[in-house]
Amino acid sequence: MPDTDVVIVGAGAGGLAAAWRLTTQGLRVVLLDAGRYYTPFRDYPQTAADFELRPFPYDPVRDEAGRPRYGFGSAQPVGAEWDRYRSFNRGQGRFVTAGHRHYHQYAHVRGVGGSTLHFDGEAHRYHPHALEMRTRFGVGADWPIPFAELERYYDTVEEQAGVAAPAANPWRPRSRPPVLPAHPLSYASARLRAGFSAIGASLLPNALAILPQPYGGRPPCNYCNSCAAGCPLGDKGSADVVFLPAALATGHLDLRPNAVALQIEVDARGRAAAVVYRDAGGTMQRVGGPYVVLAAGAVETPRLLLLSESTRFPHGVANGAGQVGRHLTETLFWWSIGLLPDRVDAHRGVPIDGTAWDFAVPQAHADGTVGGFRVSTAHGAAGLRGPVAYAERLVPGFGLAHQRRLAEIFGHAVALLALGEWFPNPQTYVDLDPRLRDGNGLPAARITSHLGDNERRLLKRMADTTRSVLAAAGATELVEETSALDLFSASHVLGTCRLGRDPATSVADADGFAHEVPNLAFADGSLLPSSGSGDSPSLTIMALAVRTADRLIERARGSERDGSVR
Amino acid sequence: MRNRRAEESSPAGPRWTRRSVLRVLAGLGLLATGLTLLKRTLLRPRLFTPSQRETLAVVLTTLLPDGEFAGRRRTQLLERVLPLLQADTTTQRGLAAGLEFLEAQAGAHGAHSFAALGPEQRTTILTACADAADGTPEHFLYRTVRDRAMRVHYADPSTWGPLRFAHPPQPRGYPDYWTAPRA
Repeated sequence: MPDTDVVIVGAGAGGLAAAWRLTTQGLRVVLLDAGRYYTPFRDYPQTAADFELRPFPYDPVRDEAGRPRYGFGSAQPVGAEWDRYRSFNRGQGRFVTAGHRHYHQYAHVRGVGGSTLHFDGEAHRYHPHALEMRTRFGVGADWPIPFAELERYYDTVEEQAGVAAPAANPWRPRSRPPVLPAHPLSYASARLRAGFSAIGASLLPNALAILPQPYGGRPPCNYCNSCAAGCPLGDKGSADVVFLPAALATGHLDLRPNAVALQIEVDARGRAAAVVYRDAGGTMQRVGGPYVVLAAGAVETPRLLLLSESTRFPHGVANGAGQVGRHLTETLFWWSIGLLPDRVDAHRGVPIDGTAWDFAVPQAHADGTVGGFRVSTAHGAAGLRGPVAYAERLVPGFGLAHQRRLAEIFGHAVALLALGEWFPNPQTYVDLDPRLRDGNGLPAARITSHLGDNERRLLKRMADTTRSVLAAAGATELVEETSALDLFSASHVLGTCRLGRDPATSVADADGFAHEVPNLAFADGSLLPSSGSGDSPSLTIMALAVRTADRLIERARGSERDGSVR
Repeated sequence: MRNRRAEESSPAGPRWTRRSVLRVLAGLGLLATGLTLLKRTLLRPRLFTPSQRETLAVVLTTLLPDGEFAGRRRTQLLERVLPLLQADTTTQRGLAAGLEFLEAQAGAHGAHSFAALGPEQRTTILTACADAADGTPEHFLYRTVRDRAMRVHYADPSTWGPLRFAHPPQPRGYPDYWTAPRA
């Protein structure tokens, strides 16, 4: 008798979505997560006066013992020809003074809810063409899934999460109307509409898993603009809020926080037999079942596979073709913060409340650059939430002049975020760090990231666009700009166990199961073969996870029928 | 009655009694406590000297002067920033080198200490620190002290009045987010 029907590693967007689907369909699930369970009102103290000094209570850079969580590979040179595009702010100067990119952080959260605990609630659908980049433009990889099928799963998770979106968005067509009406733009973002219009773009309310009205037993948002620090109300559709209660209510979910997966065991037939983990008390445990689903994110999932060497898989589970950890992609980012002549108090609202999708259709530009990008009003996501951000970052110098200037400009700053497509390249991947070890003495993941020429050209285009919008809106000064050009600071990491029809160039088949291990599936960002046109990936991760869960249920029931179940 | 003392020292060798076990455990406990205290003493960051504290207080006054706005005294900045500045030995060593630079500059300005300089001269020297190359002790001092000071100072609600910033994000939120800011 197996311990359970399915073992899932990782309780983030994908792991919880899969667990919800599986348990509500009657399967027993053991769900492991390396992090803890967070209690919103206790853990997200946004009522404190020093709220700006209290980020989400998880350090993505160092662990509890002060060790770096991740290693980083070679750093890409950044020449003087890019000086106009280097990250800086008026308070602190240039962020990176060296002549190469700086690895700042992989902004991942371990815990029940995963990185949705600190996400800004964006709930984006990919454009249909984003699934066909190889066919249409000869770059990246096609998805082995038709968009129409993916859209059905978008509908499912949007309904569960309570997504608020504009009824009409010509750049993201949809077959069914949104579940909830969009949030009105904030005053600050509405103030920027003229800037978007001047460059021929339209600013629409963003698609958000943030509630404008009560829904599913959750309260509406009160527009505190602090999603990234954790939502104390529960209106934000983080995975722990959206999927966990219903999964627990089935009685089929065995949730095990603080359980660090260390290895996947395989049996003599090359099937995943069990997951070995260290439990909350520090004791080594083992849990097995007919199916194992990996949902630890696009860095930790390939790490776990690579750590799990055996006679059958000498280079790691499912890595016979050397594809595990390859094809790492992100969303390219460019931030511009400007000062308006009038006060707009952009600390009010939701963190990313408006988006112009005009450039976010996958495309080939006249200069040969391929890929789209979107531009969003993202004041809260930029951290413009209170006096500390202004004093430290936006106002130069010190003394009385600093105090006077701060009083003059407070409430005048607005932030634009452009996110764009990043195609996989051979210099961008995840592997095991040869030196860095974690608390269990195992090699940490190492991230190596290099921008291709296409990405650099797209970044220039993104920068020119955000600067143009701000200038057209009347901004008098750029006070901060940050970008992927000289900083690695990623949360949307994707593609390291990507879907594909060819086992020589992908890790997972069209159902989300490993080509080489028929009972091992994936339910996280590692599956996504492309990064869209700057779309936030959470909704797509959830949709794919539910789809993989459905495929797993079909396989399990098929096995029962033909008697092959273990 | 059998002689217990004779039994304890029997030719068969030493025997563990409750008392001897307790003695060994107490000894081990004392040894562990001593080692822990020694480790803490050796590894604990050295506190700034009174002279360095005085210089840091003057640096903070220059960065955030008391006057028409809430300054460093109003928010008890020195007391709140010092623990951050001496949280680890690397930071403290770097700051000590930066403080030496300030004192050397004060000497070049004809004063016996940075604290003895007038506000304009202090501002000139700190501006030079701000403009110095990344990686120099003076630039490290400026960036480290300035950034921490700004963070701690403006996290204090007593500084919010001139900015017309009303309250933390929760529990009230900003349900009026789509309207023009109130004058």
